[in-house]
Amino acid sequence: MEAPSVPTGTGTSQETPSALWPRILMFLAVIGPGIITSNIDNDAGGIATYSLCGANFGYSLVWTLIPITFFLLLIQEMSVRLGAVTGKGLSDLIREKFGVRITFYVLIIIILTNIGNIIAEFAGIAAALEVVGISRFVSVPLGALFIWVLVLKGNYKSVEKVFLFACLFYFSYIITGFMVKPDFHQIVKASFPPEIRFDRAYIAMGLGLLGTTIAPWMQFYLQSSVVEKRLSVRDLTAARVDVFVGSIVVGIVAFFIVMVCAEVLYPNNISIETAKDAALALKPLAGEYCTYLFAFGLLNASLFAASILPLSTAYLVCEGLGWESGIDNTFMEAPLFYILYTLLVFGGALVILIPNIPLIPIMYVSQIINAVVLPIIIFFMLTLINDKRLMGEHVNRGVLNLVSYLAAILFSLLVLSFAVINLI
Amino acid sequence: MENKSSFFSYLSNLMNLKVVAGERTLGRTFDFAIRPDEPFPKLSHLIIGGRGRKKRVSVPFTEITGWDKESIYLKEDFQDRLSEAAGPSADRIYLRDEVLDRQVVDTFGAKLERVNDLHLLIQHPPEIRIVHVDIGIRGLLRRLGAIQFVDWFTRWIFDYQIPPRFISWKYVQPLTPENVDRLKLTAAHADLKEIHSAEMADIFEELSEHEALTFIKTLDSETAAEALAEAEPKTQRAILMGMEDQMAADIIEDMPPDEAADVLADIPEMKAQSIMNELEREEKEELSELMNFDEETAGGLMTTEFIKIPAGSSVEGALALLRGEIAESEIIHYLYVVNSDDEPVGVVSIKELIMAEPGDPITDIMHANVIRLKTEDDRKDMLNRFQKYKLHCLPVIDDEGKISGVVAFRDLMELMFPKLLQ
Repeated sequence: MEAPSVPTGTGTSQETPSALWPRILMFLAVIGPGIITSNIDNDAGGIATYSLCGANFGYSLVWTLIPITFFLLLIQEMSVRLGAVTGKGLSDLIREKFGVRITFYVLIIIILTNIGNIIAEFAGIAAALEVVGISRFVSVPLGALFIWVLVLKGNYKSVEKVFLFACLFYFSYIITGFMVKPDFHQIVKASFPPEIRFDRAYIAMGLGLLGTTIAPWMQFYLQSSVVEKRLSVRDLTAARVDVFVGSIVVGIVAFFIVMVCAEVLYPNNISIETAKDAALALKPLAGEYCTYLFAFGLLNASLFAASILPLSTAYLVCEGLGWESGIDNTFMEAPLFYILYTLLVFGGALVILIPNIPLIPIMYVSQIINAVVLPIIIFFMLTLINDKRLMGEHVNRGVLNLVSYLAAILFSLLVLSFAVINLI
Repeated sequence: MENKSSFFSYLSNLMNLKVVAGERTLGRTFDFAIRPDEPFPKLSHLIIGGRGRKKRVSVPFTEITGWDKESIYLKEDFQDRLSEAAGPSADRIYLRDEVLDRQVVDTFGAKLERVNDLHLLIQHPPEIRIVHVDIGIRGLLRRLGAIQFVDWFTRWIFDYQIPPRFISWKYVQPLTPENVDRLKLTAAHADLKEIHSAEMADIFEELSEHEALTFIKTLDSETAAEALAEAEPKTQRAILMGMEDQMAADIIEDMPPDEAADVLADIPEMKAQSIMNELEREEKEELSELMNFDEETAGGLMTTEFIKIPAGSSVEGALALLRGEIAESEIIHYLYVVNSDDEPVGVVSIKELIMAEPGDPITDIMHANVIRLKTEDDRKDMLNRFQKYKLHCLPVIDDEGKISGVVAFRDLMELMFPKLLQ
């Protein structure tokens, strides 16, 4: 005998399609900006590192994505809060609180780290186009020129939309992920309890995952875009939603890339030497065209990030040292800004033209450097965000503060252990 | 101590020196304080660093006997009781905490600059005055300890020395948010009025919300209103939202009503209401009316500050009226002649008015055919009229036929082509 059916109350299943659309649109409008920011986070280094992780380590590092995503959320929220409450960029704040000397050293470190990332982006461009047979000696100079002209002279805003649209590429990994029907039990078993190996490669990959998901340059970029949009304390809640959604999306995309490579490449012992190898991960979805699909996605991610990174770096250096900056200034008005930007773009590209330089390792190693530098930046941010005079009532408090400090200490220990292991 | 009568030095040379009184070492120099009310203020206090802000100690400058490259010497019998805690102050400005590495307003150049170092004049008896703010690369290099090397290098290779970039302290207005009143005492403060409102608006754009609010609080409401009117809507919103209603209302009152209406229309209604409640009833009504018009129509674009001349006036009477009202008017080149119902019956230019005989009736010299706009006219309608008749401004008529405002061609251009004018 069947129990009498109990009415569910909301009756959503009864809603007509026309009533559903506005809700969907509103939902999208809310999470939209978050998704956009998260796409900026994924670049050549990201695709390379996540792919390498899945191909070389299977599922053994997937568990790290959970704490990493959590800390991404924490740190990005801090960036947004710092920017909204103070109305100033991160290098500005560092300068005003710690003085010029410390700022100078921080800037040197950041420039070097960012150069590493810029080189990685050009490596991505080279690798992607090599897949379709275009020599890097053609693709890289053209790519550099294209970016340089686009950002300085062109209409960047409309092209940004094209870049963002092409980020739908990441869906390929998600779709493939469902197509390969992974054994979720196996994934969970490999993740809990996590089998932490203390060998060099394992920790290096862990750091790579950390550095590519939470890149120091992203923190500077995020805070300065908050300042540019003139977000204020009133906009904090909306901004927090953005950050939350963005971080989750980054985590999800990362998981799928790792998972797909773990399912498709790892069992066949395909270690990724070139982009073509990494492209094979998408074979279940695109068959013979997987290489083109991958090349397209990698090229898009690399170009996108390569347009943003040098610009953001030039901005934050000029901001920290008090030099004029900004594309709306002419060269004569902001000479150092333009010179720095040009050097970063073409310098980064030049490195890739060194004959036989291996592309995939460059993309990977640059992310490890990110992770090594990260604790330094986090400690600065924590000091700033705990300054009551600066933050007023939005100063870091209680449990959140404790957790943030713990995370920073944990990551520093990780970096240190890595350094120690490498020196022994 | 060097035996020159007076010489120049820099704040960076005075930082982190040992502070010694007789045999005792009291700490290291952390900061210096000045009283803001002179063009070239003397350092009034030395701040000795302790652990954490609470332990910082401020020593009156009179206790200092001398210094050298490594230490500052206080009187041998210096007693600790003469020192006090160095907290935020209502009549002092701390140089390291509040000026060094911060942005300040350069009232001479009308822009913001970042302070890299401070240029000081040192005289006997120990008296140090601030002379300039160093905003150049030399200041940066000096703080990094690299200036000697770089000087040697540039002289060796290029036979060149990087020139210093200074701003005289009397033009410098600091911007730190606490205790706004002391910022009104600086020599530069009086010059703030002289800065053109468009440049002032540029300065606002570059400041953070806190600093912008501090800055605007140091200005009188007229200057503030002019600057705010030129700022971008985002900035206007941020500033008004951050102010108390009374202060915001004072500024709104000093703005031309059409600009004020635009600004108020852009901020959240609740705040706009509470600001308007602080206004006089007439102002409030006028603004409410203007706010009702769509921004893109003649009604939304027009200004209410123009001059109406009663049809029965003589030229002399009209001139007297002009003299009385011109201070408050935005539109002065054309004057509109109205009948007792406030309907426009003629228009006369200021040139024609001045050239005419004082005794003549105004109706003799006015142009009776008044080209006009309606409050609902949109951009295209307005543009067509202006193009056809080639006038500087056009009156706006409401549904009752009364003249309610005037649209200036320049304002229409700003509406249609904002990027052109940026």
